[in-house]
Amino acid sequence: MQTLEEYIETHQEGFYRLAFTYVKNRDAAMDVVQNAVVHALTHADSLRRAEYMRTWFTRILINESLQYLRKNRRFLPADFYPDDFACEDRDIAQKLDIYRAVGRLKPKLRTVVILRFFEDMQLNEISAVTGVNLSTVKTRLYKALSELKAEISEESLPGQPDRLHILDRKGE
Amino acid sequence: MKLKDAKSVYESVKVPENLESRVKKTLLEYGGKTVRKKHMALRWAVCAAASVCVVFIASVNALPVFAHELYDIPVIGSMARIFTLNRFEEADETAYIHVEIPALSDTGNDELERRVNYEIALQIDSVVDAAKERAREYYEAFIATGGKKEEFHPFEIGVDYEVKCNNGKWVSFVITEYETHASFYSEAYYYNIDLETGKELTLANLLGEDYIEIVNKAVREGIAAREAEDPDAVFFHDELGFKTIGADQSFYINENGNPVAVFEKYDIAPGYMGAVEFEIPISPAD
Repeated sequence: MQTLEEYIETHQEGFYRLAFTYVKNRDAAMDVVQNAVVHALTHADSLRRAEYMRTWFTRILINESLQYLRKNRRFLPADFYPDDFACEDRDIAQKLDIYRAVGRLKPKLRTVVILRFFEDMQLNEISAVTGVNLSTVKTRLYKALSELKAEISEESLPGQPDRLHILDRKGE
Repeated sequence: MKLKDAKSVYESVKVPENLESRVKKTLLEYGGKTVRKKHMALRWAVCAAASVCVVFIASVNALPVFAHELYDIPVIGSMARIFTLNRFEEADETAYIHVEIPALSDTGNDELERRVNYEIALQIDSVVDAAKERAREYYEAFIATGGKKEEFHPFEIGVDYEVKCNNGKWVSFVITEYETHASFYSEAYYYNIDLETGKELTLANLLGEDYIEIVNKAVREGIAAREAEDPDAVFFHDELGFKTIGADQSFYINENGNPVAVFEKYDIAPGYMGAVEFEIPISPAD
């Protein structure tokens, strides 16, 4: 069974990306990861079962991210800098638009989208991470997708209604 | 344009180079207290004679067994022998288990052999049961959170042993349990037996009553020597660092007949150092 230390060591880059998607700034994301690691290590006794390590740690990481956002709102950038992405892809501009739109969602909605689509979590895992029940998760996901759809559609050219297939993902 | 395309953007977020060193530093500063203790000095139950052997054989064979053979391979050609009494494999959707059970024989001391072999069987039984339970819980959590049965990678659980010393006077061997899943985890049980007295050997028996001081000195010197010769060798030096051994310090006896103190992963050094060992030469005066 993986220990907490090993889990942190092997997943630190993922932690950074998740935190970065909230705070949109390198140094801030580093601070968030560090705060989350310290919190996890000093509260390790609240992790009752090692198999829930991911859920437990993700919850800590998101809480630290949101707390950081609240405290430092004025000092944080409103949007992402393209330099922070390693994508060489030609379509990066378009893809970045969607990613940016996710970054503009309200924190509660943003969390659900990040966990579902970027972290590939199941809805019941998201429910465990966020501490809200399954139907609330579904509601938030639906709301988030509608907002994204509306926002991206506004930006897209008229006459191309098929440009966004946000809801085409199979599953729940 | 799909939302999953945005995932490639998410995954392309550049991770600063100094993230790793910062996390490592944080782990060193705050970690180490949360790891469950992995070494246990073995205490022999004072258990009585003949019937226990029957219990032992029954408990081993009660496990569903695919391959079940009695191996009798001498390990070292001196008087006492450690041999593989039983070997079995077992597999289900949660785990693949491979166990080798050693036994002590030809010591000329039947009572000692019964006692040791019974203790070994009990230990392996409980260790394997606990490992199976962990695999089962993990599997159930995986399914409960929407995982598919066919996507589950079974745990690999193994129990193996190694004879460290068998010089006619002493027998020292280690039984290791390991679990491999997302990561590797292992636990070691040390058996050090004085064949003349039929008792468990202690560091005090080997090194005299000043054994704590002697071992501490050897460990401190060993840490300093290793850090001096290898820049990658790092030991904790703050409050997590080595201070002193306790009465239950894990050790085995190597082929030179010297005790070797073993510190499990995380005990006195960061995780990547693994378990660390220090040989303590028995001075000729002893």
